[in-house]
Amino acid sequence: MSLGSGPPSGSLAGGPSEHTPQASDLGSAKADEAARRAYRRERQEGRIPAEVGPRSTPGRLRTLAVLCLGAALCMLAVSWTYVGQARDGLAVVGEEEGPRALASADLYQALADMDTQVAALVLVDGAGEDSGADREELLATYEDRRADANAALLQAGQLAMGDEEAERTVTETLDDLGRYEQLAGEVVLLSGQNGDTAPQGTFGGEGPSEADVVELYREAAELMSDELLPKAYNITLESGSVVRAAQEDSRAELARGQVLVVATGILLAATLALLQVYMRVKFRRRVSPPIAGAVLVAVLLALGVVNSLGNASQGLTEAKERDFDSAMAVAQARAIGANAHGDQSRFLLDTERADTYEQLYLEQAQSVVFVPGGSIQGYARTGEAVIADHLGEQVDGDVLAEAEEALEEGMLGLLGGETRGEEDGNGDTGSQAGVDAALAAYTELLAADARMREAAGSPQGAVRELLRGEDSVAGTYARYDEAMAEVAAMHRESFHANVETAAAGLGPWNWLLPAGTAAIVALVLAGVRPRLAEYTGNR
Amino acid sequence: MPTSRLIRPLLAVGTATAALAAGCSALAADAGSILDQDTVTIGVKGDQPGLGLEVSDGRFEGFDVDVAEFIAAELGFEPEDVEFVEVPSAVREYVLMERDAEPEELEALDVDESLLPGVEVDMVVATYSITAARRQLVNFAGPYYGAQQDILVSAEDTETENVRDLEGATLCQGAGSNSANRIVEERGVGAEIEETDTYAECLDRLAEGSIDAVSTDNLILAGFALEDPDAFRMVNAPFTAERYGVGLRKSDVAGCEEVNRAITAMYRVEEEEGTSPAERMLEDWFAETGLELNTSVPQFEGCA
Repeated sequence: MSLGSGPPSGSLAGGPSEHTPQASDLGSAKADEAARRAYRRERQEGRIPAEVGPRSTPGRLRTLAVLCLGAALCMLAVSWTYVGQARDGLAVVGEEEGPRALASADLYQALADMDTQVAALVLVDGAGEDSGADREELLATYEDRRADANAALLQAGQLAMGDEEAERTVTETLDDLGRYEQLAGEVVLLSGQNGDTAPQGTFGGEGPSEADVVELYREAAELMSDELLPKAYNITLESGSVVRAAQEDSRAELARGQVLVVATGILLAATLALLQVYMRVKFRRRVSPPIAGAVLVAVLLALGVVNSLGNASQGLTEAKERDFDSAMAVAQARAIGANAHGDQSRFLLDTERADTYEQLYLEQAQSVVFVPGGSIQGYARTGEAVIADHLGEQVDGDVLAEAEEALEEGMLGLLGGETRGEEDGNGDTGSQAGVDAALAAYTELLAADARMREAAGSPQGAVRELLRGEDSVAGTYARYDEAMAEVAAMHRESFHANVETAAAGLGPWNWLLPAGTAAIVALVLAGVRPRLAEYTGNR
Repeated sequence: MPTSRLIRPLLAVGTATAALAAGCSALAADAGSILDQDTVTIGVKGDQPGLGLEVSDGRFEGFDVDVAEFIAAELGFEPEDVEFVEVPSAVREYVLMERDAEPEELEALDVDESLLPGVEVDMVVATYSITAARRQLVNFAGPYYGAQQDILVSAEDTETENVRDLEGATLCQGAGSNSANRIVEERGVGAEIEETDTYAECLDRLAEGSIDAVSTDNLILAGFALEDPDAFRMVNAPFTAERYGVGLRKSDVAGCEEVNRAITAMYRVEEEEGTSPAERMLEDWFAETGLELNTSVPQFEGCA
């Protein structure tokens, strides 16, 4: 017996039968009574479950329709939430933490440059007239770099907020910076006194000697190289890891979102299908067009949102892996290059430790563009060959063959590694042209460095090679740094653009989601109402 | 009636979706960071006194071991969940690549399989110098210490003061090491090189007098010299930087970053003690050598 067919049953729960028994139905009345008693017994003993839900067709129809609307709203809620999450993730990485991390990468650069200016200043004071650089200019650059360092440290500090370890590192760096500035100030003063013909009567009749100045400078330089620079570099690395973690979290969140949207979408489609089938069975219509339409809209909506979330996640990942990581690598290469440049000055200035500074310079150069080479001369020769080959110029075969053996997969190093993007087809032509320009400038820098070291025997000549003219170490370094800055800027712009594009893709859902859900609601109502009307009208 | 007939399929769909979701999120998880593990296996040296020396089966001691224990504790591992195994220099990359790399890549490393520890190693703290070439294969956290190359001579030799004084001398280096080349090639000092299997043998020859000097990382030299302090003298004129890193799997960026934080904590001066854990560890093992120790946090390599 199909439940629900037939007239609305009266109460079955006991009470005398409602009609007086007639002769014709005496037997059936007894049977009815027996059936009712049996049914009550079974009900009392719990073997027949109470009926679920409304027992009338309009009631059931309404219930199903409400279920559909509920499922639609559920999908709307989930989709809305996760589209919002996607937007937030992009904003946090693309507009807050990403740019801050990139700004903090300038810290090392600024600090290293500060020390380079001080070293150059001491050299200039010691060399006398013909050094080729202006003391005032060096001091002005020092001041600029100090301001840059403070600004970068501020950005790093903001990124570090909430992370106790990172905050302490930033605080310690601030303290060290203060100490360094004090020392540097003393060095500049002392060096100036050494440079002038010191009036008799100061310091007991003798002016400060060059050795005194170098000794004091060594203290400052050690503070910079042993305390400040490592902390600054580590701060930048930590900033990068904050961005990476944020991007990973966002990606996981969006993956979860996709699954949930699919789940609610399936739920919605299922309830709509249930409604459709019920109506088909009850009212013997094949297909209700509005309900079918609702199913279609639901499926399209769910698929659309899932696709959008996937695109946003991918856009964020690409922006982080292609642009942000490259920008950080280039920033680090610039920073290390700045310190290596300082080592070039210190090589001339602190002759007692010339060996160490030469070694340090070589190692830093190798982390920027790695080619195997035990000595500076070997490195310069091999480096020039490898870079020239990359740029498509003529090269000495033997030197190149040696290098290629060790560099099977292409150039290594923070800058060298950026060329691999081109070979893998990942990089865009704009940034590759920039990288090539930086490499060409780097070759010039290596050549200028070689000239300076050759002239190391004569102090004045060496200082000239260091500081004077466009082909000096300082000149070529400035061009190299400029080329690197351009590459970094290109990556930053690309990062920003890609994040914006990904965010724009999420924009339409602001109106599409409510509109789509409203459409589903309308279609469900449109499908159900005529049936309801038809049914109650038939009474 | 349609309602009850449909409930079962509906339930089936619901369960399937839930199962799919669970399965998908499990697949989407990373290839497994060290941070998700309950136990950790750390590879150390077994034959370098002061740094990594096996004192009994499975028990090691030395500066590297102390550093590894500190890092494991910072990462949240209990001491009983930490296992140490010996990992010789030649197989350090292999053990870290074993889990994730393709068989051809492992073949290309061409290692002597008898040197492998036979268990999956998660972290290597074994005087593992960071180089650009190694960075292509593994991830390096740290460095946790910047050693420098120095020279060890016989205690009777009072004339050798720096690397240039080695002109014409006979140097000894362990197999697979690069230290002596640094002097001859990079500094251009004309010295003769003799190679032995291990640095322990070099020290024996130095004690005998058949070679003039041994040159390698100053921590390694200090550890050996401590075994017989009156026989040797550290010249204390360091001339290169060897950065000892913590080797990790290439894919484990999150673990690498966390180890970096642990190393930063290791160098943080504790207010009550007045020293940092790193300083105490270095003093424990190397104070007697008279070696100048670095107690500021080194510049990290960065996790790829």
